[in-house]
Amino acid sequence: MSLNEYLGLLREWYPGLLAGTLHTIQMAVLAFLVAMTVAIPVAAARMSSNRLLSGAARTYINIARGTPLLVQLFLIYYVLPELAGIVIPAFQASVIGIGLYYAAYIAQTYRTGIESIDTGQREAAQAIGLTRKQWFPSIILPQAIPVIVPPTLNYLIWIVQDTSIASLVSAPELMLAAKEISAEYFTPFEIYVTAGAIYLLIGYALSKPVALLAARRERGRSKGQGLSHFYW
Amino acid sequence: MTLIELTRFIAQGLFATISITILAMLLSAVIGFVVATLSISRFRLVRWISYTYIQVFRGVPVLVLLFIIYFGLTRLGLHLDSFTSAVLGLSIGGGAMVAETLRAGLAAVPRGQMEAAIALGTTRFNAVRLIILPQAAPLVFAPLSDFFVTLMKVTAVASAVAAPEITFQAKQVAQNTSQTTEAFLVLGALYLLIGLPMIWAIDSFEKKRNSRRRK
Repeated sequence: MSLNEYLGLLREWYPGLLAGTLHTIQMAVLAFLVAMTVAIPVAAARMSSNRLLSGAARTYINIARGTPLLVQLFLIYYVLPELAGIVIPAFQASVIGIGLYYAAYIAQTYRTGIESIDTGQREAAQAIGLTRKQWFPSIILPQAIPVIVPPTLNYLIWIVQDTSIASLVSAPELMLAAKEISAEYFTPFEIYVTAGAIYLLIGYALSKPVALLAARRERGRSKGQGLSHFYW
Repeated sequence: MTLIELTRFIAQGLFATISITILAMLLSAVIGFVVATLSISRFRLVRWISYTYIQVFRGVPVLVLLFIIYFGLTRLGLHLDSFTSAVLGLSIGGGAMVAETLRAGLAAVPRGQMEAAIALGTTRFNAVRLIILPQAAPLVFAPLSDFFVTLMKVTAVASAVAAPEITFQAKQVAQNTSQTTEAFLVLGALYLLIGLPMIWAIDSFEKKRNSRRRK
């Protein structure tokens, strides 16, 4: 296939690919919001001194870490209607599935971020008579948030990639659009490489601000560190 | 199908799931090690190649890589079976993940360590082997082991190119019988059976290491 032929095809594929890309972005952002929100109670339960609560949170996290996202999508999309009579359209099922899956990972990020704050901070706050309701939001959280934000935003990049799995339950997004085009034009190589390039571009566009944020944080801590200028 | 027959049918895919996982782990470790080594080469072109590999293959979903290999290359005349395509796709993508993890680990060792080693007359090779690697290794252990669990889970995607692993087997049951619920619940249980021991092993190792560090 010559370049001209390819560009000609791209012009025909353009509407389908654009719609797919927009759906992918929409799905990823919604799933990310679900994940960030669900992760708050999960992290809180995980850090709770109540054994039942922390055990439940630990179980949730380990199930998400131990089973594939695809299987969780199958459970929501195919099993939930049969078992509980709850029918959810593929797009929404994917948003929920991806959101719940990443909530487990993001909860871990919240937890490690909060636990990374020196216990002396809490002890000092308690020593001057602050209650838990006072010291957690005013002393611990402001220090934990800068630790938590970069790795959490990083998950958005992985979520964008994982929305491609939603095509396997026929949710409308970029990969499904690519599959349809491939079936119509018999050009699997060209269309999947194109789809790959679009995922790459979205990820690249997202990674820039995340890297900047992380770098701004690093700058304050360590100067001139790293092997980056030492090569063999 | 009774539940036992159904489980047995799905479990027929265990061999493929496990062998794809192990082969992809080994291959991505090799690719990752080579690419990470290239990322600290003194030649700019070599570093650029390594950087580009990492950026490109970390940025493309594994499913897309699988489809390019399985459907795309076939169309171009290179036919790979679904098992080989799955191993290749997971390894190419996984190699980039491992490379990035190793690269970040190497970059986290303070540069003064290398300078001090060289000032004391250590060769570069020995400095990397004896000074840099032992300090980078504990940093990469946690992300690397987590990644290997992820890799095991990602093999489920290989069902999309009809590799006969457990997800594919479960889909067969779901399509050909009315036992969709049983099939996918058994499937989830099988993954937990493989995944949970991996997670427990990693977590307990981490815990042991952390308590040792505190002492």
